[in-house]
Amino acid sequence: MSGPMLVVDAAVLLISTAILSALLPARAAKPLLCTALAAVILVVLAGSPQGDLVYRGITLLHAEGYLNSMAILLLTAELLILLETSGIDEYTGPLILAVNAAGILILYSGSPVALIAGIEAGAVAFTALSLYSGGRSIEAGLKYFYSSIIASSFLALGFSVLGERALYSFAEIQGSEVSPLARVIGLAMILSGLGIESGLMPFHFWVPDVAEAVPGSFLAVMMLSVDAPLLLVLFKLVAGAGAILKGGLAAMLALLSVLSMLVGEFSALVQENPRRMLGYSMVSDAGYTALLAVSYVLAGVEDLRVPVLFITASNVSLALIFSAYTGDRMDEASRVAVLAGLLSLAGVPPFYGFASKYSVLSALGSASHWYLAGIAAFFFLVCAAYVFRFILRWRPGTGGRPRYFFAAYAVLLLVLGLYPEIVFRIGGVKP
Amino acid sequence: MLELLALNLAVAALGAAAAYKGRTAAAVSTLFASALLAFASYIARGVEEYSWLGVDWGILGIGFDSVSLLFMAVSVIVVSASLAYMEGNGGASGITACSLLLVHASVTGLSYAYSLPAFYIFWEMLLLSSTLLIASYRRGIALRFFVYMHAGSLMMLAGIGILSSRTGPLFGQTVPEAPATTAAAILLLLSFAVKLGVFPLHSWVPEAYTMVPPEAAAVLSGVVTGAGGYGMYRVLYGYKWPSSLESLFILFAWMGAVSAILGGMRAIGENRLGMIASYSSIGHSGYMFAGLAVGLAGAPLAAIGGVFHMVAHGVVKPLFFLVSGVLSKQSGTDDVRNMGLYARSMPFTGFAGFTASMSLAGVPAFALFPGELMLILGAASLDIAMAGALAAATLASAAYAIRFWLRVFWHPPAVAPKQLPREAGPGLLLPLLVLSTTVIILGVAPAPVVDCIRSSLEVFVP
Repeated sequence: MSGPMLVVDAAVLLISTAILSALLPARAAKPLLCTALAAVILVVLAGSPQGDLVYRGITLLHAEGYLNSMAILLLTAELLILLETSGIDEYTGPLILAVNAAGILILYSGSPVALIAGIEAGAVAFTALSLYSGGRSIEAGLKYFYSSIIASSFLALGFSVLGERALYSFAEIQGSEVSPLARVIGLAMILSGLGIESGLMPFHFWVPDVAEAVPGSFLAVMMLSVDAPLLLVLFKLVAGAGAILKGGLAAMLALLSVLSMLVGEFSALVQENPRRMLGYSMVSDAGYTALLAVSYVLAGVEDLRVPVLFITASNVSLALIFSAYTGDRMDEASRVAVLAGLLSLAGVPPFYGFASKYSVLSALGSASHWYLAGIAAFFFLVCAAYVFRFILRWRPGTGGRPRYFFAAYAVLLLVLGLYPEIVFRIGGVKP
Repeated sequence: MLELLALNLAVAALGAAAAYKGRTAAAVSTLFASALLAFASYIARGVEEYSWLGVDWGILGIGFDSVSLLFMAVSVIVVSASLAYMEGNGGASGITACSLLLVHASVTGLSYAYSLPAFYIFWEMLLLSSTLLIASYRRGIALRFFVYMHAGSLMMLAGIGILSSRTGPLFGQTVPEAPATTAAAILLLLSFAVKLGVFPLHSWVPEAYTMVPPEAAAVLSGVVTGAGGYGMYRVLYGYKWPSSLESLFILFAWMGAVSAILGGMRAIGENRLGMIASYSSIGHSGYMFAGLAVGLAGAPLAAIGGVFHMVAHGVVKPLFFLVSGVLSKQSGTDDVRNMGLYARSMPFTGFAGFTASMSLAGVPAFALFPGELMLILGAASLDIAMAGALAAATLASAAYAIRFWLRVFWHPPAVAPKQLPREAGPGLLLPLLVLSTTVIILGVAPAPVVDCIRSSLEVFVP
């Protein structure tokens, strides 16, 4: 195991590669990008960073096994996607690396400073990617940018209201010495900020538009680098809020979670556009994560195993579908990959999605939150319904070059479904 | 044990790849390798626990016993026969052959599953692979089949959730008496009834069995449907249920008995070979379901009969489907009213048809007789009316089976054909003869199989 400086090294590696990629010819961009991602994966895998990086009393980074697991898995998925992505040049390559660097910062953030910096950096980089893509992607990128700015503002205000110590470290939130009313207001603002960023209802309106308009590979990068870590941060902050969250605030968050699931899943059910359908699925994922967090805080559980499983499974499945699905002619490997992603999203064994949804139900059931388990199970069924409806109607044409890395991604979903424990083993989490 | 399971699944995956590439001989070889591994697992037999998800409900139990071995044997024999039949019939698409091996892979997993999550994973795999098998012929039917079956799977999942929360996911626990556990028992019984195609949850059967070629129907009826009986044994017998549920089990046993009677009576009135086989399957699924349900109520002889019936029916029904396939191919018709005196020109097919129909009729020395006898005797120990109903179902079964035999092979047809159909080639006859031999062995020497089932019951059931 190594210290948290490894995370800094990884981020520096990404940024420096981004700069290099911007200076070199276009054809060097993709190899550099893939090499950098592979290097970061190896660094985290071999180094398994643990501990806090504190600078002048501010906990900049917090590293632990679960975060390493998530980083390795998400980066591996992203690498497989990017290996099949065309059109990476001296502009998009560095921007993708910048999004990844921001994602590393968000995932390993130990304080609001790092979190907000990561969100802002990620927003700028992703917006630039969207603008560069042109067409409707410009409008979607701008929507995402405005949402991120508002989210960051709420976060900054919220942490400020909780007091100076809360700005230094997430661990200090529980011990905030401000008045109860200020604590509630602060937490509400923080949750609003994270809700906007993750697409929790009623802040979800940007999600389907971005899902529909942004090119699939770039959207997958955003999901895997930024969206997934943000969901985990949402979970950690809610579950770690402790006594502050109990009572009315917990009830309100639970209600918002259920509404997110309701809006997300039922809106997806009626969509004709498959990408908007998947976009609404992202909205419901935020709801499931928040619901799980509420259950954990009420039951006093702190283990990150189940949320890591759920967040990675849903985002990894969605990212594959977004990237591999081209709507018209698809090669056989891509069709298999899309089918695997859809079945994983629907929670059909033996794919990864089943393991994650089963673990959510297990966690809620073990905490004796039967109503929450029943609600989650119901919305899982709705998700399965629209996925199967899509599969029923899907009539892809054949053609195009074989995209074997997408097939490898599908195999990854299968392997993770059969042996999900491997996710934690590679991150150095003790069983 | 996990290593043996992994190895067995790897072999099955190799077989699927070989089948996809059209290497039938290699695919069949992997099936026999799988059978050897299963035998090795049986020798090693035991149960091991593994942490799968690191959560309370996420413990995987992997084990193997004699009933697992029997179920895998059925799968190996039937899938091999179907592959050989396909090869003798001019070959089939890579996807079709691959899906047969995937069905076997799912059965392999089910055979090793000794906990609820493990069972459910391979149950869904079986659903996906059987849907793929049907989809390789008829996409629309495959999707309806999937939706129907998945509804049953979801009921099972709900039951699994309840049981896991009350007793834990591993088999061998005592179930406490509570409304929730009653609900779990009902959900599980209904899910197995869907898979078996028991009345009134049988409407998927005729369409699925008649709209695909006989080699696919053989696997669906013998292996996929048989998984319902195996699952019922493995999951429901894996727990000690409260005595207050005995009346519930008797009620569901009646559902099986009604299915046995209705299936048999409906088959009597059918003239198309596929429909006769389909309603026959509904009837015999009812037998299995009734026997296993009565066994849960406290009649171990009926339980043994139910499991034996699962094994025997798993071989007899595929034989019947393949015989039907040969008859249709050689004669150009699937209506028994247009057939007659075929025993003269098709002696080997006639022998296979005789074996299948006598088994379905429940004639001694053929495969289904021992199981039906144990079923009826076991049911009689608890409910004489049910024993009578099952006996009546046997009569109905005998009626359509003997009608089939006489109509097709023995009696002249209504309109004499210009020429009797020729005997099928060796490629089509070989699987028929293998299945017929197995059917006769099961009927003449059932004791080893019965002993296997009894030993499993003594060890497995808490």
